[in-house]
Parts: sequence; C-alpha cells; structure tokens
Amino acid sequence: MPHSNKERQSNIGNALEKIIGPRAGSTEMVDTRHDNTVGLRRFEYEDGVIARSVEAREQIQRMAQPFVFSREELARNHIIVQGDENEEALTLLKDLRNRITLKQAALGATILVTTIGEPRGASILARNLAAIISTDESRTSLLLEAQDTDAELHDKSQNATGLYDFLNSDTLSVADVIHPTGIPRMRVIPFGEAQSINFDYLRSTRMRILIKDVTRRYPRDRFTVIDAPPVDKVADVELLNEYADIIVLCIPYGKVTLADAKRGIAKLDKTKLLGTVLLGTPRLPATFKKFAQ
Amino acid sequence: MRYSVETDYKLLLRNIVQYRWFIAIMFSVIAIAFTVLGYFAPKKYTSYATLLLDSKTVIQPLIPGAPDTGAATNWGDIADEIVHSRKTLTKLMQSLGYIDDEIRTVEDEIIKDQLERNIKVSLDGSDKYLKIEFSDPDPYFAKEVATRLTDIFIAATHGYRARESEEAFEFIDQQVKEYHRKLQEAERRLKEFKTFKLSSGASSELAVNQRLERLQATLDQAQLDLKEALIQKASLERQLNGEIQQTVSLARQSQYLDRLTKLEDRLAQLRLTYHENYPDIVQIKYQIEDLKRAIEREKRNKSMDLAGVSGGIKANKVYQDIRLQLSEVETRIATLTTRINEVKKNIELERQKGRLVNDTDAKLAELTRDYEVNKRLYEELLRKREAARVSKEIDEQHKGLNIKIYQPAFLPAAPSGFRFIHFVLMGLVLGLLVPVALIYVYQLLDNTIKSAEMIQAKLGLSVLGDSPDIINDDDLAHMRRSRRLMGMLVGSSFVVMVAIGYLKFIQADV
Repeated sequence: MPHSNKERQSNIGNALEKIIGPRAGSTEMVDTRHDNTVGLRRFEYEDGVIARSVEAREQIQRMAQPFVFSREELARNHIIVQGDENEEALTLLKDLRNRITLKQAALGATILVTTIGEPRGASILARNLAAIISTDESRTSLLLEAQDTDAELHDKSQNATGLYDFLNSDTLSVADVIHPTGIPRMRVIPFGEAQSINFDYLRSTRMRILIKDVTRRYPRDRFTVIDAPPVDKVADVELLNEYADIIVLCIPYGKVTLADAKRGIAKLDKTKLLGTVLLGTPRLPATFKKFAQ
Repeated sequence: MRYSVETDYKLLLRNIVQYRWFIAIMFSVIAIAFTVLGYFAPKKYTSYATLLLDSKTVIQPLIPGAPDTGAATNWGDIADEIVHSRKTLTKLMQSLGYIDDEIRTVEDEIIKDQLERNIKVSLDGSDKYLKIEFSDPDPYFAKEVATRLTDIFIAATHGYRARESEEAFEFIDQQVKEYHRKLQEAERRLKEFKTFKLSSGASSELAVNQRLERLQATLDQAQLDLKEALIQKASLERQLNGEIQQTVSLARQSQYLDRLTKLEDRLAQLRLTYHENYPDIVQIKYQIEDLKRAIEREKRNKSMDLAGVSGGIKANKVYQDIRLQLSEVETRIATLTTRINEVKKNIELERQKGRLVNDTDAKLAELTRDYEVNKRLYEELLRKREAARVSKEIDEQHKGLNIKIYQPAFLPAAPSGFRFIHFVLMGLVLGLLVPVALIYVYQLLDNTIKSAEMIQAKLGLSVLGDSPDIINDDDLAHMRRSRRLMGMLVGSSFVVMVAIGYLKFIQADV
C-alpha cells in the first residue's frame, strides 16, 4: 500500500476541510466508493482511530440539537431504551450495529432496511437502528423514511417538510428536508403529510436527486438508514438497491410464505445483503424460554 | 410445516403462546359444556345377579356315554337371546305390572324398548359365570328388575333345555318307528322270497348241478342204450331179412330141390324107359341143369323175391324168434327215445332252473343284506332312543344343567357409569387437549416462515437474529390488561363449573 506524500497531504486536507467546511469542488470526498481511498481509509482508521474519533466528536458536538426526547416520547415512537421487555430486540440491534460499523471501515454507510409483507416491523427496526448507531458519540445517523410511518421523530411544531414535499416541489433543497430528531446525532427526513401517494414516487427524478445527495454527500460522516416499503408490495424498491451499501431484510414472523419470500429476495442485490432478521416472534413467558429456545 | 422434531415442539410452544386466546376461549367453552352435560347426565345404578353355570352333574359318571348335559352349548349367546327375547320381556313387564298379558299399545312397546336397552347379559370368568344386569336411575327398581329377570331367565332355560331334549327324544322315537317299519318290510320280503324259492323247488346251485349231472348221466346212458338198441334192431332186421332171405332162399332152394328131386325122379324114371337122347330126358336134364344152376345162384345170392314162395316162411321158428326179438328191440327203442326226450327236456328245465338259481341267490343275498342292515340300524336307534329318554327325564327333573344363582341381585349403593366429576375432569382435559391439537394441526398446515432454520435452509440467507416486536409501555399495559382478562375468563369458567357442581350436589340430596 503506497503511502505517498501526496496522498497523506490530501488526507490531512480532508480533515481540515471538515473543520473549516467543504471546499467547492472537492470531488474527492464525493465518490469514495470505487477508488482506493477506501482501502487507504481503512489504514487510516487503524492507525489513527482515536484521533479521528476525537476529531469527529468535536465536530459532531457542534451539530444542532434543538430538543431531546423524553423517555415517554421515545417509547411512543417505539425507540428502545434500556428496558427489560425489549431485551432481545436490543441485543439484535446492537449486533446489527456492530456488524454494520465493522463492515464499513468508513464512518458512514447507507443501509437499506426493507421487509416482505408487513411494513411496520421494518420501520421500527430502521428507526431503532438509526437510533442505536447514533448512541456512539462519534457517529451520526440519518433516517430516510421512504414510506409512510407513524413515527414523529422530528419537531412537529415547526412546519417541517418531508420527503413528500420535496418530491412535489422544485424549490426545496435536500438540506431543507433534513430535520433533527429528539435523539442526539440522529437526523430524519420524514415522509411528510401525504394526501395521496404517487405510486411511482420512488422512480421520480426528485427522488433520485434526493437519494443521490443523501447517500453521497457525506459518506464518511454518517450512516444513512433508509426505511423502505416492503419489497414485494411496492414496486421499484429495487431502485434503492443501487444506492445502498448494506441491505437488511426483515421477515415478519408467520406472515410470509416461502414463495413470497423468494420473490422478494429476487429483487434485492445479494452481494449487499447483510442478512435477514425474523421480526415479531411471539413473546414467551420466562419459563417457556428455557424450552422454546 | 414440519421442519424437524426439535423445532416442532418449540414451534408448538410458540404457537400456543401466540394463540393463547383461542385456547382460553375453547377451554372455557368445552369445560363448561362438559360440566353442563354432566349435570344433565342421569345417574345410573346398575344391579346384577351372577349365575353359576355348572355343567357337571352327578348322573354323568354313573352312565358312561350318557348324553352331555349342556357343556357344549354356547351359553353366552343363548342367554343373551333368551333375556332379550320378546317373550322374556313380556313376562318381565307382566311381573312388573306394566301390562296384563300381551304388549299391545305403542306405549307398551316404548316401555319394552327402554327396559331392553338397560338390560345387559355377559359371560364372565372364563365362561363359568353369567351376569344379568339392569340399570336404572332408581336403585331399588334396578334391583327389582334384575331379580325378576333372573328368575324368568332361569325358568326359561329349564324350559329351553327340557324342550330341547324332548324334541330330540321325539325325533329319535320317530326314527325308531320308521326303521321298525322298514325292518318288518324287509323281513316280510325275505320270508316271501324264501317261500317262493322253496315252492318252486329251486334249491341251491349245488343241488341243481347234481341233478344236472344225474340227468346228464341218465341221458348219456339212455343214448348209449338207444344206440345199442338201434344196432340191435338193425342186426335183428338184418338177421330177419337174412332169415327171411335165408328162409326164402331155403324155401326156394327146397322148392328147387324138390323140383330137382322130382326131376331126377322123373329122369330116373324116364331113363328107365328111354334113351339119354330122348327129348324129354334131355329136357329134364336141361331142367335139372337149370335148376342146379338156380340153386347155385340161390345159394349165392339169396333173393328176396318172395314170388313163388309159400307162406311157410312165417312159420319158420327162427324167423319168429327174430321177429319177436325185433319187436322187443323196437319197443325198447321207443322207450329209450321217449326217455331220452324226457331227459333232454328235464335237462333244459334244470338249466333254466340253474339260471334262476343264480338270480335267486343274488336276490336272496340282497334281501338278506337289506334285512341285516335294517336290523342293525334299528337296534342302534333303539339304543339312542333310550339314551334320549334318559336325557329327557334328567332335564325334566332339572337334574341336568345346574344353573345356580351364585349371587343374587343386590341393591346398588353407588351409581355406575360416568359421574358428574368424570364429566368435569373430561371437560378440563379435553378443553386443553382439543385446542392444542387443533393448533398442532394448524401448525402442520401452516407454511409461513416462522423459524430461522427455515430461512437459512430454504432461502439460503443468513439470519442475523430474531426478536419479538418492540413494545413500549402502552403495549405493555395493553398486554397486561389482556392477560388479566384472560385470567378472568378462565377463572370465571371455573366458577361456573363449580356453581354447576354445587347445584348438582344439592340436587342429588333432594
């Protein structure tokens, strides 16, 4: 691995950039998927992990955090807090997070969370995944709600615009639709008030712009979790394949037949598929757990 | 969908937890239903009498070969038939006072059917004991009926047995009479035949042969004699003819000789007178010559020509003798011929008789055989009849089959059959089993994805983990409430069951 001076210099430049702000035309930072910088970055990570995380932390601390959710509010949104009832889910989420963050040496990745059949479980999982990623002080996460959910992660009092508004307007910019949430270091692009959903919304140009921007602008900064509709119910979810680094497929317990599952899976990019998660297994009382595990 | 035995039961547990409401409701419904059923199920008291079938008697060892007295009968089936028969039930109903003499109306029929339904007959203890049971809500009534039924049954079996042996006896008696008649018939025929044989003189073959021989000998002798006689006759005839001839010839010769003599005399005379060449002498000489020649000729062939011969023949003694002999012989011949004919006829007759005799012998043998067989059969039947008679006597006096009442019908203290508590328990058990079974069936049929193994095996994807839904406090409260509700449901069904049980308990005492 050549460590040329020039490259070292450019890395330092990047760090400075972060502190100062983005330089116009700094294209090196945009497309980091397909060149050697990833490998270099890995080295960097191994060498200077503490330095970087300190650096990141400082930067992140300067993120705007207007409000913090209380416990009840978190609970309302089905975000796990340290509690007993959701122990298994918590373990699962932590496991997921570890896999994701270890797999991606960079401080950022795009995770597509989708499901087969029922949208609810996946939505909650995506939410929680984003939340748990952001518990690490050196990481930020962005939840992109690509389907209508019942979560209210952003501050509703502000007239917050969401995905839907973005898709239907030409003037809004991506930054306009990113809102902070009550969870530190977690941002959200809410779905927005939708009177009627255009079925092809995933295919629309605006959507493409949004996605591209979100996933490629700050790849090292944050983890983007896309809360996608069920892959077998809504068409064109496979378009999101392209933008994702990791795909997590949720399978609701007892609601999906093998045939449906096969059909759904066929639409996803297998190389990016991290694995499946079986959601919604019945809760067993403590005594049963011994026998049924 | 079956995956493996291990995941099978784990999956079952999960399904049970998932569908607990279904189980709870079904449990309540089934348990209460069974309890109600138990409440309405009538208490049944069963009373029964045990009868001992003792098929060994005192008599049997005394009479070896005596007919068996019921050991081989299938008492189970017979008893069942007798007890459930219309006759028995009619008697029972008469004895209980439901009817006077016969089952007439529809209500009577209904009562009869009810009674019949509650009667049970069974063999017990390796076919030695017979149990007659009767069940009824009223224990006193049950005992009453059981007692009466047993009595009727015992009476019926005696009647049955006696009837049976009587019928057997009747039958054999009839057979005996029949064979007696046949025997007499055979005897008569035999007698007739023998008489006929004797009268026809036909006797045995041996006699016939002997007679034939004798006759044959006689015939031969007679034929020989005849031949002899004929020869004799021929010879006599010849003799006679010869004699006649001879006589005739002699007569002629004598005549010739006479003439010759005469001629010679004359010749001599003439010669005295005349010369040799005298024509008369020559003539006479010629005559003498001729005569001599004729004599010669005569001697040589004696002609039978009687011309010129006088009747002196008949006076010839020899001739007469011969004639006498001849006539004797002729008589003998005639006699013999007749005899021969007679004997021939007799022989023919004898031959016919002989043929007859063979036929007769065969026929006699057959008749004799017939008679013998009939006689044997008859004797045997006689023996059997006596045995049947003894059996009948035995049965009539009830000394054959001993049906003893081993244990009379008792007053049942406790009800039999399913009691209330049984129903309740059954309800509880089924209330759990049935829904779980249904769930298992559902599980077998269910083909949705419910386990990580399935995903890994059938879809080839790695499973990162599984978890229940993420719940918040609201959900938790909701779950608690639902759990409470379920508890109340199950609790209330228990309360209902206990209440019904209490009602039943009260009812029993009233």
